[in-house]
Amino acid sequence: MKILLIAFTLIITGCSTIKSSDSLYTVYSKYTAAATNDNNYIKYFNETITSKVSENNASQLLFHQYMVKEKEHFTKINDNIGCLTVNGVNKSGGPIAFYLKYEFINNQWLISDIDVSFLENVELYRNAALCPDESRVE
Amino acid sequence: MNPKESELKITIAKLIEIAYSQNKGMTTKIVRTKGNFTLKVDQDGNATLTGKSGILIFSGTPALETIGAKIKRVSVTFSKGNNSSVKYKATFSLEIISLSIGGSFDIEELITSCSGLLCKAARAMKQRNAQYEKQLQNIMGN
Repeated sequence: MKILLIAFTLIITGCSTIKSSDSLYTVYSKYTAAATNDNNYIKYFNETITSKVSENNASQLLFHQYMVKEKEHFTKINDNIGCLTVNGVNKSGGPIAFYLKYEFINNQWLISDIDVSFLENVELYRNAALCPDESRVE
Repeated sequence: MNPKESELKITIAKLIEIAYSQNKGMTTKIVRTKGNFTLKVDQDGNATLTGKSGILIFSGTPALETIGAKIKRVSVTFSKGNNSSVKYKATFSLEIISLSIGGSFDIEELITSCSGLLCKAARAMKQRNAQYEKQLQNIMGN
């Protein structure tokens, strides 16, 4: 009984670690590190994105290059969908934000949608996570 | 090479200028009326400028050709106050990511800036014209 309880606790802890908000930012950090070092960064994106990649548009996956300095980040998770907002500074010194959507597939969070927003001023930094759909002009 | 912020702003200015060169009367009516107006371009380059005072359909392709990336869709909302300042928010959907920008500019300055021969020639050319783009960039902000 005791062993079962320990196993159950480990499973629950394991799941909550994998699906915690921090893991969205961890995936983003791993992606930026891999993309900067030209390693295999495509593994951090889901099929919605990878199926669209071609020789002509692959540079779009290097969107992290738009931001030269990170300021802060926010996450939100609703079941198997998560969103991460990263606020920072762009190459010209202006405010910029990344709004990323994630899907939890095969026990891992994968980036499924990206909006890069050039903000008019620093007052427009959001201090909560926003999904790309919420940031775009439709 | 991914598009720069300034390229996106210049593209919005070019789209308005194309609308103006196609139908000066309707464009002026739409952009001068107080309230909101929108500009949308689909993946075939069909552009629609919509406001309270009417709708104008034109080809937005010449404005999009100078951006390196393939643009699938452009959506811009403009809000106009009492004076000639216009605030806008725009999203450019590329094949994989989208790029959003916001800003404000003087609509009178934009629609009256490009009446000379230089701008007419620049509009007719598909390639970029540095002087024309610099003028648009100054109006739209860096």
